[in-house]
Amino acid sequence: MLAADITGRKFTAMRAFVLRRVLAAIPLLLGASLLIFLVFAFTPGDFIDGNINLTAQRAAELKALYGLDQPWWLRYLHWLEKLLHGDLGFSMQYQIPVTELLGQYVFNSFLLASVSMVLYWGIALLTGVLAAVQPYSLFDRLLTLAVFAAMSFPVFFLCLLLIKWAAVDLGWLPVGGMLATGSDTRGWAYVHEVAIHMVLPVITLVMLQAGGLTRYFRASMFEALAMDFVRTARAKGLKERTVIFKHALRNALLPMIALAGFELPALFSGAIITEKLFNWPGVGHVHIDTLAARDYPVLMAFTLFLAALTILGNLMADIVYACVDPRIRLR
Amino acid sequence: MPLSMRLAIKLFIRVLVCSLSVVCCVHAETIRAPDPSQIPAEAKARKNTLIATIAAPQGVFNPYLISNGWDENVTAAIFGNLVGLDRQGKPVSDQAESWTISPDGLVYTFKLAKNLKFSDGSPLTASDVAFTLTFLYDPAYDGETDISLAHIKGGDAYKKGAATSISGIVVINPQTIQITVTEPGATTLTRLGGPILSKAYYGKNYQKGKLESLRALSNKPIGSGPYVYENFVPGQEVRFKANPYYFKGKPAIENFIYRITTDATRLQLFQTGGTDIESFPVNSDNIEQLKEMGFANIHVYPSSDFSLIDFNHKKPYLKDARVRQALIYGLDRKKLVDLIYQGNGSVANLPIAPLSWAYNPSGVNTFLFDPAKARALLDQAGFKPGKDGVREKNGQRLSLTLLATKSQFNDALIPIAKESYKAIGVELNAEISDFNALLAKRKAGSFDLATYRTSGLSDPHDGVKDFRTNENKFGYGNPKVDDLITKGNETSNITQRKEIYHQLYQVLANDPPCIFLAYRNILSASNSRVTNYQPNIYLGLTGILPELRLTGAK
Amino acid sequence: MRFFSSKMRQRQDIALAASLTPMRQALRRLRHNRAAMSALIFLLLLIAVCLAGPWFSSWQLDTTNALQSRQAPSMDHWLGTDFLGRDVLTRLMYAGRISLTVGLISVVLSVALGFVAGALSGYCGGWIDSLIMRVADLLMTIPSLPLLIALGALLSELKIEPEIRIYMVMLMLSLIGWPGLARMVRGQILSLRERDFMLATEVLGLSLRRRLFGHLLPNTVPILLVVATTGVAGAILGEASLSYLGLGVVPPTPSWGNMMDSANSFIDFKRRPWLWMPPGMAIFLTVIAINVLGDGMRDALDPKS
Repeated sequence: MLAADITGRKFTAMRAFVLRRVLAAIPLLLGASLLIFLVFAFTPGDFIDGNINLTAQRAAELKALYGLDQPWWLRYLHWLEKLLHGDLGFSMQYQIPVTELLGQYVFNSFLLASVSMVLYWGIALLTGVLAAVQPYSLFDRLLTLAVFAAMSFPVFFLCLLLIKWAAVDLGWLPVGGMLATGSDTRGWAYVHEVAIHMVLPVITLVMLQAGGLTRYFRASMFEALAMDFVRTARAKGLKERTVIFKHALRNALLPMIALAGFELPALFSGAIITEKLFNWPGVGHVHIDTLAARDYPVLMAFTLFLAALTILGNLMADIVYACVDPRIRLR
Repeated sequence: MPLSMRLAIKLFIRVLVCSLSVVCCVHAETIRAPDPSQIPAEAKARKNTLIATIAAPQGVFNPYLISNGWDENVTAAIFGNLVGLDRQGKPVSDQAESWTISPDGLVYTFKLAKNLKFSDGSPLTASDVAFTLTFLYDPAYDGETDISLAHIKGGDAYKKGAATSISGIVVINPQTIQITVTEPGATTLTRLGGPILSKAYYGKNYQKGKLESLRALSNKPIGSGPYVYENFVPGQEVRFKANPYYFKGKPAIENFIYRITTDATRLQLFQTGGTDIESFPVNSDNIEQLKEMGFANIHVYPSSDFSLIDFNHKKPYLKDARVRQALIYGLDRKKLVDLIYQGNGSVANLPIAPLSWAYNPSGVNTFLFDPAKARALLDQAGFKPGKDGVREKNGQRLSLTLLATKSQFNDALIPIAKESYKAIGVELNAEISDFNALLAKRKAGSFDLATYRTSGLSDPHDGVKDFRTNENKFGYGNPKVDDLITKGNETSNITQRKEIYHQLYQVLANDPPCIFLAYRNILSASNSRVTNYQPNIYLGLTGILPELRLTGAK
Repeated sequence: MRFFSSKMRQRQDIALAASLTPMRQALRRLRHNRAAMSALIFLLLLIAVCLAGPWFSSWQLDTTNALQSRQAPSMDHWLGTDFLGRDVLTRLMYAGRISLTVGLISVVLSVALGFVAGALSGYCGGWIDSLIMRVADLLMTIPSLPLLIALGALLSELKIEPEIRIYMVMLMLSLIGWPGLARMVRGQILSLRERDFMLATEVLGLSLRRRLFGHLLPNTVPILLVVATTGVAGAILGEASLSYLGLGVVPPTPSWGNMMDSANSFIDFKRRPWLWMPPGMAIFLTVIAINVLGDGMRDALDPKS
């Protein structure tokens, strides 16, 4: 009875908290969209300026056709009005609706990012905790060295090395892309083909990301192990494994929740350099292309999409915090 | 290392650099594959499919709606032009069998080749040409083709809504079309003779002022070119099949694929047989790597673009031609070309590539690197060295800002220019930005110098048109130059034009509108299983695509 | 094992602690850490070499030489020459000045900002928390790439000297980089705040400043040091990608990042290690040294160890 009552109260508080945060997200998104629009509007150059071969007269004609001759606030209002009608606009350079364009590429990025993310969080958790349990041991020192070696090694060389070794010399894996050229595979054969093409970029992303994260896990776990309750647990005669994984690890994970929240937009934003080097058809290069061409409808839509994900990620992190750490009051 | 040996190596390199830069440029060169038996299995297994490469197609496959050059490469395989180009950039007949131009240069009559068909089997007639040209005058047309430069009679009236058709376009019979223009122009022929859209297909639901129906067909193109579009996998590849209705007969290679590749991995992909034809930045490293593969035919051929530095003539200190000349004499362009292209480029002095019929450097000042002369010119212009070594005149220091994008070329240009100019008492600061911002800043006039590379130029007029007083945005003006540019564009007689441009280039050298930097070669490689591949910049890959063969194909 | 030995030492320290301020205690502990001291000495040496080295070099920073392009290391050029024939060693030393300053400044700035904001937010709660977190949210929602390009363009419009520009960019990087750290510190503080020792400070009526800096700060030091040490490495490498976008160091000024970036072909990688090994090793060793020093500082500062 009592327990159920407490859970119920907590649930009501949580619901109010979530509702409040979702409502607060609306002005935040509006503010973000205005800020983003301003940033783009005051960056030198627009879609027409990028074409060196146009005569001044034709350039002026085109600017009028695209509405680029209007003041920025009017363009912003137009954009906002369309957005409220559910219309994200039309890409200037790809000449298809923005949603269709992003749909073509975002999933590929998500696929790559999600698989690598699961892997590097897992690896970082395991190695970070092991290193913290035996601080300053040989394993810990070697790990530290490896982490910093990985960090001071440029992405570019890492990708090239993997391609040279696994794809060219050994011929085990494809050099790049997501499917073999001219491939018409369906069903499981398709899944298999994509999986094979994914191996190298996933390895790259894991190597790049796992290092830093390992350091965080190690520091956090190290902290947790030094706390009084761990000493108490040990004094109670609990098994070392129980102490580490049940008591210490739980506490060590707390600060990592916020980090996990930041990862949500990263799932969709595309790893620009890795995707480029492995020819992965992700959204990263579309982002760079549209930025270079000043294709505002795509830029605005995509940036806003990432903004919304950031807000969502933070919200989720806060909720998880509140769930796992009862000491945190919901406000 | 003993001194003598170091000296020997230095000498060797000097000889190497010199000999390579003499070899370069006008002539295409092919190094045959030393060991075709090394063709990778992956390529051998592809019996009737050719894989070429492309950087970033965006999926707008309509030759008049494209917004980047990659999509243009795709449409070039699908659509047929009335007028093509030969290996020197001169217009030649393509899907138009012949044409006549009236003596005053105002009336063009095109006769279409017989049995022209679109890839859906429907006939291509003069009314399709009329439809295409009329469409370009649509007031809602937002593509990059600027048909107004052809000055078709009645075009503006149609655009403004004063007429329902263009009076200058007359279909004489299904095979003949006559176009009247109001101003003669040397580039008008190629402007009128571009890719042809099918009226039946693209015009089906099209109304003047509403491009939506036409735009919706950008991912389902139909044309009369050598290949038929099959599909586009975004970020990965574009696939084609040979066009059975192609007017010169169905191309020999049944399947053609453009695969998307990037700088980092193009070499590896080519090496493993993933691609058949690929191009690379031209340098000795790449050539050597390709040679090691054994199965690669290596082609080095001249490009039609060039790199340059624009002056902002509105700045008072750049108005004096002597200062501009000094900035050319004082810049070690030879060093730049040697370092970047390693023998596969040359110093530019004319606004046209050496490949073109209009290229004639005799009598044009070559501005050989000469710091002493540069200093003397600056002295004459009244710029004297100040306290910090930087020259000044009436308190105006010669401290210049150079706009540049991030590229390997500029990574070499900036240090070299900074060093060369310091030696003649000119301070140089570089500003790096992306290309779009560079052009915007250049347009706004907030620069002294701006460097970039032109797009590929086929007609000499395209290289000089911006130097006319009323076209130039940066304050350059020279009546003699204006006069010669207009003359060069008024006639289509190539012998006359050659002479006019030769004069023009000499005048330009005395009153330089900009610093021409370098011409370059292009390096491409083909798997030796591809035969008949003789690349040329004006023809492009699609221009020679129907002639290619694959060894071992059925 | 380590656990017990440090316990022993702690007991010995208690007697000393009565006579020394916490700062002095920390310094004393640091001096006894041999690894940390070697790292410190290495870093000081590195800085000295970068500052003084170029005076002793017989090569100029920017002198290009077409005939000396990409020469292997020799008696003349100890670390060889780059593609413009410039001496790699000389450039490496100049680059060190830029890279080290850039790395340190940007990290110190963003850690300071992030910590103050996160600590205030986590500790005070209420409207201060809401305000700081909403500003952080807003800044975090905007992807950094377009923002950086716009800022870079803006800076070039302002005609700021190229030499100063890199520091401006770093400042801006810190300005937009603090929210992530602030949120992490806030999370840490939220759980620390509920601990007994913090409740005690409240009961004792200590001032906010003392509670924050005297008691909360030391407890967040471990995580801050991790952020800072990885951050310096990130900033040194990040400068390379900034340069790639044309926002960082404008050529011909060298930095470790852009020296490595300019050797970006596979052939250079395979055949000309002198182009990328020196800057790569410089970054690697610097990062390791900063990290070891950071670990030592943490051990020294952490009241629990």
